[in-house]
Amino acid sequence: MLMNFMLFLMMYPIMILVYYIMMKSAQPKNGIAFGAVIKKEWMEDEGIAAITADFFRKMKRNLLVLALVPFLCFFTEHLSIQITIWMIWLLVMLALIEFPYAAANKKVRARKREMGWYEQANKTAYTEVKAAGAVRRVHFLPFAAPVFLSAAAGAAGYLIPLMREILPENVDYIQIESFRLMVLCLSLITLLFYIAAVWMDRQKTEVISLDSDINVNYARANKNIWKNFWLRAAWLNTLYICAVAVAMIADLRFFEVIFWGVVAFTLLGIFLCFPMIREKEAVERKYRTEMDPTLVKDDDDNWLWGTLYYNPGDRHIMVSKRVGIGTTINAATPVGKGFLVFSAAAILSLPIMCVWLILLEFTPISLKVSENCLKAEHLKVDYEIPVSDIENPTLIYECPSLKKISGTAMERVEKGTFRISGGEKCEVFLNPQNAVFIQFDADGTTYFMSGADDKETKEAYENLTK
Amino acid sequence: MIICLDDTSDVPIYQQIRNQIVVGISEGKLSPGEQLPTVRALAGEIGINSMTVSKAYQLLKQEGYIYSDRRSGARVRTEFEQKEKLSKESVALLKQIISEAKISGMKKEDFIKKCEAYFGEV
Repeated sequence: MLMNFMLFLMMYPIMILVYYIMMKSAQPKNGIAFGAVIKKEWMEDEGIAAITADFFRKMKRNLLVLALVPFLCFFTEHLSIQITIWMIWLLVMLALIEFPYAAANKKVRARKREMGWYEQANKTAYTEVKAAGAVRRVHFLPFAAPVFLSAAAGAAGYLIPLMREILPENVDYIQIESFRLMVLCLSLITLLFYIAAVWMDRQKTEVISLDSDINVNYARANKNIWKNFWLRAAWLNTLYICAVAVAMIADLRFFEVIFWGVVAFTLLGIFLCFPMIREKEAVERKYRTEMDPTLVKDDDDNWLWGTLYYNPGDRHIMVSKRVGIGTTINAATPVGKGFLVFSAAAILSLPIMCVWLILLEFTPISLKVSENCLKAEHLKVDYEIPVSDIENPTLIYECPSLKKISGTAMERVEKGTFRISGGEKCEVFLNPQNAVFIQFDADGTTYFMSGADDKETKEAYENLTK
Repeated sequence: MIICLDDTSDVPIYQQIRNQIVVGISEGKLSPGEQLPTVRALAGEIGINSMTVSKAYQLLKQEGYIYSDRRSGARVRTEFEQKEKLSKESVALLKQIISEAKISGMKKEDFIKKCEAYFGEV
């Protein structure tokens, strides 16, 4: 239930943010609405007005459906089912919010063709020469503190075991060695935020006016907003990673810090977007009177569904989005193609992961002795230990408190490398709902095992001790 | 200064860049001695190959509109050669424009007036 609550806190605000951004797409911004170039006076056209009304109706209906579905998760206690509902909901949410927008984009373009508006379209691309390579807001210095602090937190897991002799004896080295790679990877996210800031700072300057000073000041204001956003994100990750590193080293509720830290990180990350949107809107308001909509190039054909930019003639890897804020990738470039393949693989991996989780949770574990080997199977052979290697097999009626280091920990199956509370590492393969377990040693490692039920455990134990 | 490029035009992109920089100098949007962006920065800003911008800069250098050195990059010349005549290419272009004006039935006086107006503008 805790995981369900956590997913609820993390996922629900995403829906509200995406919905808010997509609803905004109906209002012309820089001469663009529904991802198509549109003049202000065209918005008065009855065809466009009908498309807008239809879009709002569909979006409200879809939001109502999407807002209710996640509550289904609270009716099941199975973690795999809960995660599957959330993952399907996430994919359906993105589709249900994207479809009305893509349909509106298609209809607007059809209306433009019907009314002959494409014949008067501007096909010229404008470039501000004075801004080329000149408007830069991101410098390393403000990012230095979060980048170095994160790096220090990430490296701490590798440095502390080297100072064993001068440190107190109660430092939990097993925990440090088990999780230091994860902490190091998380610390690199701060560096990634800095790289993203640099990349966004190098984007093309939008030409909104024939006055170069206005264009340069507008670009500077927008780049400043993005710099501040990435700087806040870098500090947020630094705080998170420092908290995780301290919890790992000092053994202060490590898993709770990771767990609630992710929730806080996601929520704060989402809420960081709102002030940025407000700042962007303030800039747009300030420059609205200076904006010349005739300078917007009508390249609707390069925008698939009004969302995906595909222009082989443009060498820019990143371009300004037509809906929402920020930049999007040019899918015609090699980087864009790679990004698309990666995104498709990530989306496809979600249902595969859900099927795997369901199989993990609903397939019973099996423990038996055959061919002089103790075989522990769950979807595959997890452990195969020769009986001759097994020492001191004991039937225990209470399993010690175990903390997962790597592997699976679900309601009906725990398997992988665990550690006995405050003690050494051990290998685990058991159903935690059982009352009887087998403890034994093999090759210097302690094992805790059980079958799907107590009967199977006892049978395996009898065969072991024969 | 703003460069307008038309992908659908028959005029090559490097030529369009060259033409607009010449117009920019003539209109005073690029002042004498002003630094131009580097080839890489301008190509990145427009979203085209660096070679295209390099070709436009080479042309401008040959024609004496800009100069470049290793330290300061490309700059607009402070003084231009006062040849007081048009290049061969410009004469051919002017002939073409006059022909079009004639065919369209434009009177000589009107054409001259237009030329005077534009001469004052740029």
